[in-house]
Amino acid sequence: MLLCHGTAAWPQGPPGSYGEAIDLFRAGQDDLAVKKLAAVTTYEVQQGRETLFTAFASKQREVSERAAATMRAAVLVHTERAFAAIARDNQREFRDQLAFAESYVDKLVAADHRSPFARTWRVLVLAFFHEGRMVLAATQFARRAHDAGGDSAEFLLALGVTEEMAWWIHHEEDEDPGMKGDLKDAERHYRQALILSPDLVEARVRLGHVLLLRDDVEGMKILAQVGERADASDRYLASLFEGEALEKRGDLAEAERRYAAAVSLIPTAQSAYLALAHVRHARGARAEAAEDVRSTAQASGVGDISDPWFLYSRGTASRGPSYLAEARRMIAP
Amino acid sequence: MRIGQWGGVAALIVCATLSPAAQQFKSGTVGVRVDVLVTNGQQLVRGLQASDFELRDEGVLQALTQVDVEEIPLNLILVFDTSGSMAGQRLQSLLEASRSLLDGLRPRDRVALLSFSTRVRLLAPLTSSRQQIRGALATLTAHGATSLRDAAFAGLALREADPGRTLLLIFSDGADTSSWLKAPAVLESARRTDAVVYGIGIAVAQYSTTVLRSPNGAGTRREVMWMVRDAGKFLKSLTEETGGRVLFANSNQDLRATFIQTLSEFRERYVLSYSPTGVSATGWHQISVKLKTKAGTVTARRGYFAE
Repeated sequence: MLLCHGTAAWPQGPPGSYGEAIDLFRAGQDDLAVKKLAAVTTYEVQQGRETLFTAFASKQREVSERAAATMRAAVLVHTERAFAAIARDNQREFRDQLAFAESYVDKLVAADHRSPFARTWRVLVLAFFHEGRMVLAATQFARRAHDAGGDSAEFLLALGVTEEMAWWIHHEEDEDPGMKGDLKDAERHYRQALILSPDLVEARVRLGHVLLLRDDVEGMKILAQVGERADASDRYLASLFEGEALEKRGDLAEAERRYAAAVSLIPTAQSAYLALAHVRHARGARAEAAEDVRSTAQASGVGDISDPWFLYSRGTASRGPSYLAEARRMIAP
Repeated sequence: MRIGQWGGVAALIVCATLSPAAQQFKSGTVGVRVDVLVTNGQQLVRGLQASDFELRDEGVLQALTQVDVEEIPLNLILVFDTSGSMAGQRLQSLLEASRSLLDGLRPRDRVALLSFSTRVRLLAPLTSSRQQIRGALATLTAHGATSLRDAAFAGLALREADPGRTLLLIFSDGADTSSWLKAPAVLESARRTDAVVYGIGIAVAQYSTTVLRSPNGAGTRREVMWMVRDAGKFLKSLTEETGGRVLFANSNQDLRATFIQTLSEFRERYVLSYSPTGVSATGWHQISVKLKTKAGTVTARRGYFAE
């Protein structure tokens, strides 16, 4: 069945193992597809790619469209293999696989500058980079994508997140991410994203946060705009960031109220509890602080993703699965 | 000056209604307690008396009393990294080291166990039940990110207002990747308690190839190995702030010895006590401790908050 599927998508030339890997991916067997692709030589990939490019250039619309769909599937399987290589710290394999994926995307974009698949793929790759906290690689990738005209609201959000993450890792963690990150650039990207898509609440929350990190009081106004209609996670983060800004200003009582508000929004999340405990500890309420710590640290059966801060700190990684699902819908022949 | 004025910190304060051990170091006055380590090179300096030390609070010389360390119960708060990088042998070695550490405690010492990966988890509050701690240790599994700063704060916040000496023993094998709290916030909390923080890390072997030249100019390629001992800026700052230090195990197998060394070193420290005179009743007090004449390097907390 897979072979029939493959034959239809490969109008010329034998698909071989490369075609099988792509078909496995189309069938939803990602792990097998990535394993299969690992056994395909670079030469075979290059040959298969040339065959696809030839078919894509065909004047017969059906042949060209089938080739395009197969190219999109190839993009995704190369991308998955690239990030699987990163997990094994194989940088060379990562670069090679991502380069194959990009070569397909470049061809698709050359034919359709507004290719929805290319747009989705770009934000998917950035989500992968964020998951691995690879901010320098994300920046380099984003620069190429930007030159190719990839500026959707979600792409701009991902650009801002990359700068913000880099700044955070550089300033708040004992790591050198290879770049310092620029909160002004992050702000600019978030503002542009909001112009394209005013309802992109994450961009608003992040804009408020980076403004406050720069001690710009406009951040409070921006966070106040998040409003009651936003989901609990966004409101939680807005309260958390407001609390932090107030604490920095020395208004411990108001900071405590904001943190308490965040706790009541998502009691299973830990960051606001610890923020609350910290501000209470600072104002001398040690017993209350200890009780806050016990409340959150003794909670059983609570998963990591119950905390919006944790998801926030992973950049756009939590958007990855939905981007992948969206890209998958575009690979059927 | 009333007891409450010094309530924040460190140290303090012990009333006659507390245990007999507490009364030992009351010495007729209420005051600040400072936990001090004295070393000479790699060696601990033993046998010193209060009269060997000079302590200045905000630059003002203070009259010291020495407290008998043996008389003060220990509150040991274990704060263990259980992020993904701890999986396998490293976690097993941590468990074995912890069990040995428990064996070295005295009956009235109490222990708490916090683990941290993405979340901080309090697996056992301060307890004198070794059985409870052993049971909690058995539940540790490795996965997730590293919320080191959050966990350090949680440990500090759990320090109870009792006369015991609190040792926060933080084991981590990696940098923070997911905490909400920032380093300055946690360091500020550290200044508001008298807990002493010891960090334990694992040294990492690094390899490179070098060319050794003989007198006739011929070169021989040799692989060179050295151990990198880097606890990260945060853990170093936290231990320095609280008068503790960072110790490194050279390997997973070496963890047990490092844990035991930490406990034994903590027991060899000096506890000095004084009733602050000639200084303000509130705010941050910078303190400096040195030896009057004897040789040695003194490690102590940098100060305390009087509230």
